[in-house]
Amino acid sequence: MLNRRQVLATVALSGLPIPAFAGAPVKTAFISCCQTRDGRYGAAFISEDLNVLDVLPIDVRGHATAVSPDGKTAVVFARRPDRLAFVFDIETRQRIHVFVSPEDRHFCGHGFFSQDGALLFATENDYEKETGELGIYAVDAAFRRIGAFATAGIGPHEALLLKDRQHIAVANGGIVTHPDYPRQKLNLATMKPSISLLSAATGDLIETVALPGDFHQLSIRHMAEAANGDIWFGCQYEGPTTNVVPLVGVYRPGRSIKPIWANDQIYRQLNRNIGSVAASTDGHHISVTSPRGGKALTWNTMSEELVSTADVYDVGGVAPKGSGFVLSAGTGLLKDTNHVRHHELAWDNHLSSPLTG
Amino acid sequence: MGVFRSVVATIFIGLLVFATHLHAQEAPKFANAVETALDHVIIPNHQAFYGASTVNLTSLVRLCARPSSDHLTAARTSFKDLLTAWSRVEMFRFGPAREDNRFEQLFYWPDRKGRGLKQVQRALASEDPQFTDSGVLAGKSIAVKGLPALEFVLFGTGSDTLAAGNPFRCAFAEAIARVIESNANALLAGWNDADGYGDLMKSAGSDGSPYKTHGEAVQDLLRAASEQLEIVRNVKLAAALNDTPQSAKPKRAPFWRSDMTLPTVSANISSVNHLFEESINDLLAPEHVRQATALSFEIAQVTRTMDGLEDNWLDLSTSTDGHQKLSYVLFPLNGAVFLIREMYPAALGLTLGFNSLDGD
Repeated sequence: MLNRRQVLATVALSGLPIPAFAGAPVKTAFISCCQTRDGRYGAAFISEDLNVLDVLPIDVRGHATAVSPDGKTAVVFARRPDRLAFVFDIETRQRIHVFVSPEDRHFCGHGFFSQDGALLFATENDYEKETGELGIYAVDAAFRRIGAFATAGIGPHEALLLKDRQHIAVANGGIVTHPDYPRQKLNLATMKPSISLLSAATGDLIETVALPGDFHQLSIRHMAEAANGDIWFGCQYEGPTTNVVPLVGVYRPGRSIKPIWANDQIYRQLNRNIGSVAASTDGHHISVTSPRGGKALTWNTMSEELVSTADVYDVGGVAPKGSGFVLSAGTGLLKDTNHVRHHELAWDNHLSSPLTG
Repeated sequence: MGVFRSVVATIFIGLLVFATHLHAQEAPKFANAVETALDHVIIPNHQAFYGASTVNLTSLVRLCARPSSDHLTAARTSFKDLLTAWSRVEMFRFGPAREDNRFEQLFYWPDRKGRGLKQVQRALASEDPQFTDSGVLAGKSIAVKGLPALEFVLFGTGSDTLAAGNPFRCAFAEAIARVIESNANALLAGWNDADGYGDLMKSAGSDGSPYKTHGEAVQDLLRAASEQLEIVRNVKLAAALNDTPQSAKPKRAPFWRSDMTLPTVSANISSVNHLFEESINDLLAPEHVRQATALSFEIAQVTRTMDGLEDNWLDLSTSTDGHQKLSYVLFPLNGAVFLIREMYPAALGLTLGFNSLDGD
């Protein structure tokens, strides 16, 4: 049951009617950052049936959430170029800690836990040196930063611990930014996005791969791993407005990287922008969202064929659920195959799931 | 005023986020606004920029053929005119400006670590004839062939030697001016040619257009305007002014060598105003016309303060009085950005979604 404090917090934050709960506590199935109707930011805990269980305040706009392997701890990263990360106990739905990146770095909005849950890795921008890092934080030492792996690229965004637990893939978006020039992209003409494959144990660089030169303005930002080990990625395009380029691609570690071609009209409709990438529970499908295109697309990872498209205005988050996906949108919409709910919250770009990891 | 604005802002942010997706009514008004923006602002301003680039090139050809103080002064004056003309098209950093990185080719800035400047200095020291052949120069780094590069060659250390004759430096300047003219011409053609970007905006909804509706094209114009004012405020002014005259870093701002920092900033702001007066304001329904008055008021506050400044940028930004006046300008600029980012889209039913706006 929600306690009185939680109910009041939720009401105060969102002005929402609180769903009635009875019996056993309802488990958190999804976590997403959001903005409340009065303009404040929060981390929302969402049930399997897509009701909002709690909205807990965070000080700045959040981006993505890392969930510990035991499903008990969530870390919400601030959106770049902020330096804050917020730690939540998922069971009690309490904010239990806040930590910051080093002064000369900011978080890039994504991270993940190590296999044993002892370490948290966070993508960071060392903006003076213009290099990317995976900051390493010791969970049991109040998330003290104990080191970093170089990402061998500029502007890292999403990073994944691969299913083999031996490797880390990092999407280096390739765009130089600096807090002195707020949200200015400083190297569009010369940007070189890449994906780096690192040893999870040592941080040693195994390989860095890039798309062919014609695609050097495709900023690789989000990724998900398919059942066969392929890493599907989504991009944002910084090149000529009139170019229609593939915004989705596949990286096969140690083998190849390639764009996934689709009907030009499909990519044109995405308005140069992919916001999230997620794999289905069985890893046989990949769904990507395009907030600016207002579309969610699903590919079969074996045949590499586009199997479905959906029109969802300002869609951002996508997460696996059962044999399909849950989608969230800036309008407050949460939907899956069985539910369509409209919440008075603006859902931010990413949905994470403590149940599916 | 400031408190009122922040209260209004807070209320409005909430309203915007939760506004139902308003499918902008595709009345002819958006199509008309796009057409007027192109025909009255974008294309004439690009024509003026191309014209200024031609005049600048001519003045450099004359200087190199017959070096003299008068010809150097004329070349510098024409370059300043070119910067003003550029600053009236700088806000249109989409469409043709993204083809071949034309925007960065013309305006490689901010040059955060002075990398571009070092390349220009190395080129000058090398006296390598590759830098005096505009055909070869066009294929070189964006840092050595745009407006900041030409500013250093004409106004930077050693530039006074151009009056007495410095053949390599002058030929380098002439080659840069040729590349700038070529890019200015390409930019104009990109907007103005049949089937160019101007036509794509006008034909929103057709197969080849990147815009599904004319409302989307107006959204791009609003975004361009608010980005320009944010860049002026946050990047060109605030980042250079810092909190005090003592901590100011005026050389972070563009075009301080030619003392064109403030004139170019003024031109940036007046070009935004021009766009609204010629095109966007006509879209406002009677109940929203006060927003045009508010925008005009904020911009007038900026212009009046800047027009009253007499010293050069380096002295102003580091003196108590000058710093205070320049810092004041940041407030009405903030108000103008808020109006364009939040109030106009809401009034026109063109609010972008929470995630669509984010770009992450």
